[in-house]
Amino acid sequence: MKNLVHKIASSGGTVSRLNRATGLGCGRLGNFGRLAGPENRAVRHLGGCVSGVSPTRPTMLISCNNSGRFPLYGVDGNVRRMERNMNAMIRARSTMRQVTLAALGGRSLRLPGATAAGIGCQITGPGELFHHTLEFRPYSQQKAEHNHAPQPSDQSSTRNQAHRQAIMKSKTILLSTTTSTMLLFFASGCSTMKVPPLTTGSAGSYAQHEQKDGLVVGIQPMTDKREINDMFKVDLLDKGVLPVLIVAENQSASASFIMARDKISIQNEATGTASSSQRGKVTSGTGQALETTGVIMVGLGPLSLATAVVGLPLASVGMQKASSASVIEFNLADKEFYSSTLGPGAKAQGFLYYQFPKGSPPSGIFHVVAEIKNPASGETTAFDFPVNITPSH
Amino acid sequence: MSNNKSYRRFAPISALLLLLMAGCTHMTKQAPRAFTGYMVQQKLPLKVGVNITGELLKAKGEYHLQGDVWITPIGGSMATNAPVLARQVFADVVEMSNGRLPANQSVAAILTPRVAYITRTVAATRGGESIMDIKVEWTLADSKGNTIWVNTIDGRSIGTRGSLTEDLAWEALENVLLKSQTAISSAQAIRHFVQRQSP
Repeated sequence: MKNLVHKIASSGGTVSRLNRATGLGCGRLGNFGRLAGPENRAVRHLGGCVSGVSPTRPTMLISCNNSGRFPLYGVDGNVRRMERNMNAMIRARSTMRQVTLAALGGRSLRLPGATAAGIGCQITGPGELFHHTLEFRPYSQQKAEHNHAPQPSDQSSTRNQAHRQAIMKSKTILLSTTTSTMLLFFASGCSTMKVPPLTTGSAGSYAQHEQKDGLVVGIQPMTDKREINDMFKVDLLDKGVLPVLIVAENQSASASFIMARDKISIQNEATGTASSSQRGKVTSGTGQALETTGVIMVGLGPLSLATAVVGLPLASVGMQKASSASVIEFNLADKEFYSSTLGPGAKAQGFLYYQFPKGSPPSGIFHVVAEIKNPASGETTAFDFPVNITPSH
Repeated sequence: MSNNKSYRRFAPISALLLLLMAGCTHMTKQAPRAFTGYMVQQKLPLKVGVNITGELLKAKGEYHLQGDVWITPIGGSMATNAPVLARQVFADVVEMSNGRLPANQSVAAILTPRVAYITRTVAATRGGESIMDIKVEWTLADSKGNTIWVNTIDGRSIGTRGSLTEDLAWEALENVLLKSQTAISSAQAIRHFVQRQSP
């Protein structure tokens, strides 16, 4: 049973001034007590004690709070006045025994959240230092620890039995909670989010593909929520973003092709509106700077997209969420289609992000249009993919 | 009276808490330096102007962690390194500012770098992985403004939550510059352009 005993040491409680006329003291609060050992998790969260000088009497007050989940009782305690001149500690005239047994151990600290206060000792002069030591044990151990304690009546025995059952239930809940937490920790909870790399097939393997002058371009709008979640770890459709995969392969023996991002757009056939800088528009809450630079993060940092798409302001959320938000944002940017020049045999791939109003997913006919330039001849070849988008759930 | 005393006692604590909650902004103070670890290669016989734009100079990354913000002004480093890189690849390099050539100078092509993206991910745990990623878009255009070649080069470095942002940024930038050298010097479109320029 000894491993269930925990001492709380509360140092401090210095008396800085004492009104000689009235005998009233003015002191500062002592340090919160700390558990001496971590063996018993049940009492780990006991708040410990704080001490101060009574505003009405020349006494040192001790206040303890059971901030744990389990009933506790105090079995012993003392207050030691540190005698500065003698450089040693002597037991004060007034001890904590009356406080612990009468107030703390007896009733007040039995229930979680309860606070007990009592007089620690008499103050005799300024500059006095006190060292408090209290011992607490789980309430269920009280009977076993105190064989000389009075036998409970039938009624109190029934109450104790109910109380023990409640404690057992609490322990079971604690055990299952701890196990779940550990499982979550090791599964994914407390590690940096991992995202899958973008792997694509050949451009010609996509249902919608086209070949012109040796350049093959294939596209695939991603409308399946599960597929989107697997790839981006966030429901982009729910955030008002439709990802469209574009894969291009230069199968020409000698020609190069320039695929500039600003020359690739998604057009709504019904409204005639086009969008070429989709991810920029996702983060366009910052205004004109994005549109003029066409840059998403430069000068804005990773917060903007995370806030816009993930909806998590990094500064105000937990580290795990902030980490996940930053990884999601990076993953979005990393998988985006960027401008590139395809030499013979080269391949380019990435997503275009088409923004639509939240709550009204795109449906109907859209056109993914790409103007691709041969830098040697200066000729531009247009690719136009009509896409019938029907969002799935 | 006691209320007043309480206010006086807790006012500094409250102010301190507010200060801590507000977080701080830290500016990376590392001065731009030139990367020198390029591969030795035969230079392309082309006179190129390296165009340092105002947009490039302003480029910066922000790293948010527990309310603090670390700002990495990467634009200055890119502006320093772009001409150095160009001199590794091209025979003759002229520095330009916002598309303006120095007096009495002419070039066959203009190389413009642009920081397309910069970020640093936040590690969930102290030893967890934190990625610094920089994407630089290079555009080579002829003297009339026709694009000859464009490519976006990705450079990254991996550290932990405790890694210094300036160290990670420099490592990622080195990665970008080395990859850029390879990409520019091996681009078929650029080699064809050089051939067309030769008498």
